[in-house]
Amino acid sequence: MRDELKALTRAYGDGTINQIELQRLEDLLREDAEARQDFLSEMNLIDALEEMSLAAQPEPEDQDQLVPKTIQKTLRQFALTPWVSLAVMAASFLFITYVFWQNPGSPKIGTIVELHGSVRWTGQEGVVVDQIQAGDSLPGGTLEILAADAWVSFRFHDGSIVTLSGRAEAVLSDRDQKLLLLRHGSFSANVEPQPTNSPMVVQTPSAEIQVLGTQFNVTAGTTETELKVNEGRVNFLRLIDGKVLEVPAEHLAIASLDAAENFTAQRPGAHPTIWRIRLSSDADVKHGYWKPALFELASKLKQSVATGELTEAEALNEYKKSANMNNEGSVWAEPSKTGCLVWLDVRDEQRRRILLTDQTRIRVAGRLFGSTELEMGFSAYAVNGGFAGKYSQSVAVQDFKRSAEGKFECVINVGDLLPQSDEKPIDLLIHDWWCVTDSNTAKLEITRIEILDK
Amino acid sequence: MSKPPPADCYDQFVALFARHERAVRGVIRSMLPSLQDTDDVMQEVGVACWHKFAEFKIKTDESKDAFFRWACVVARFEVLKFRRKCARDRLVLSDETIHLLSEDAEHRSVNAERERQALEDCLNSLNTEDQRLLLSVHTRGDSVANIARQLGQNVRRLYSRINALRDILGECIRQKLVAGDF
Repeated sequence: MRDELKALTRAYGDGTINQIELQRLEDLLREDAEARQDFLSEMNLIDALEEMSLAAQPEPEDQDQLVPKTIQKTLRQFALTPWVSLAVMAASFLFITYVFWQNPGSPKIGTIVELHGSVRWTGQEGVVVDQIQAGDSLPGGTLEILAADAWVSFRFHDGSIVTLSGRAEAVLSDRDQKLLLLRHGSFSANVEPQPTNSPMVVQTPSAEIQVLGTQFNVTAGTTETELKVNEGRVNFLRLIDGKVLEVPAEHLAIASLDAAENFTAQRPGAHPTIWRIRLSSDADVKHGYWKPALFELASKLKQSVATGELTEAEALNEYKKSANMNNEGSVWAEPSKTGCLVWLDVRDEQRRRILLTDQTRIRVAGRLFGSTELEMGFSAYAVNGGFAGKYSQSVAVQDFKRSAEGKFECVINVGDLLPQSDEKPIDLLIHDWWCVTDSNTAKLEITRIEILDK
Repeated sequence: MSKPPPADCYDQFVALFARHERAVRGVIRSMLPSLQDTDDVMQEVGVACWHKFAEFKIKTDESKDAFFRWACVVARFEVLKFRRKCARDRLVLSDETIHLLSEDAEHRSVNAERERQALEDCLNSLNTEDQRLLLSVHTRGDSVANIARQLGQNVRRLYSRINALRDILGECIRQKLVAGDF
């Protein structure tokens, strides 16, 4: 274990970490699966020492109780029996699958049919390959999209195709049945008919999907999974409560980790052609740091109170006045492999994607420092189909007006964006939008994005 | 909120929860920066699992491992809820990192248990004073600063000593696992 990671992990586990160290720890953990294993091992050591320390202490009389005392005694007996955890050791379905594809003898399960941009494959015994290309046959493993403009299509031997896009990471395997573990991101799938007793299974952090043959799109985040079925029917299981929903063609359903959320299949209405991002929360932020609008005001007011310019009561009044007026925030770019990146979901309140016409323009406003070029782009999907491509354009910062505070606004005609295929993005749905600077030291804040028609 | 499950599920719930409590707690602790936070979230997880237990049984009552996986999903959600509540005044890992860690932690429950068993042996190989020092750091409500004050030692020096002991334990555990002792 690297010394830096070890020190940061201990600082986190001991509650002594500072903001800069936490950011560094986040970077290490996000990028490196091995670092996460080391982190978990060290945290397990801390947890075990805490448990031993507690066991050596007399138990407080008034401890909060989840269950009555008699049951607590039973719980303690179980918890303290060394071998009961053997039950935990029985591997879960996912774990078994993971071990299967780690086996050096794993056969090839399919081929990369199309690929654009930076895509990584991690296979047997943790071997990492950043230079995969169309035509490569692969055994089971993990495909990971590393850049905003990247995507990859993988075809299983039976002709079923999955296309990953949108900073996605997915484990693929195909032994007795196809399994796709989508850790995060988006994919669309055209699945050939599967045997009834071994459907293709897609697992996400909040849901499980069983597919016998159909076309559908999935987007998974940390707390919810969105499923849009375009053809056929799909069984959609919400993990938090085990409820199962049959989602028919042209319907959409969301499985949240919050069981109180609605879990029904709904037919999205007509797609809107205009849209404006809601920045009252971080719900649509895929990459970037969402900041409430009042964050800076609160800092300024605190400073004013500290310097004696305002009393606490005056500062509080000022804050309350602003709080009533504006609840919108902004998104700051965070470093990525290709520069400082903001990446946002594009959907309205009813979760409908926005339809692009030949008149569509995108207006972007924000603040920018320390960058000479921005690249903006989006992912597009067919109206009743799968992934249709990514479109992007580089914009020289000198080409748009900026104020002394770095504020800018620019408008881009969708027809001007460079397609990665020959087709213009007309009559397609915009799924997500990104903006990346040419340097990881730049500062980029997005305060508004609108899609305009005409 | 879900209806509480029928009373006749209680024994089954308690048995399953007891069996997996330590592993679930370990998953939660790996995501949070303190013992107190872990206690708070574990409490919420216990209550949430009980309230949702009837729904869990409908789909997955045949597999005991399913309970661990399901409880980990509940735990992850409660950790994320907790994080949102306290993120402004405490330094906690981001949603994305928590998600990555929880997934990895679920998969390494076997290794985690082996490490804990090896730790018991390794801790016994330390002298009594070092054992007491290591454990006292993790005593509820105590801190390295308090212990340094009581012992009349410099905080940084004491922290270095504790970390050196942790290194010894870590290496001992690693060797035992490589040797296949656990």
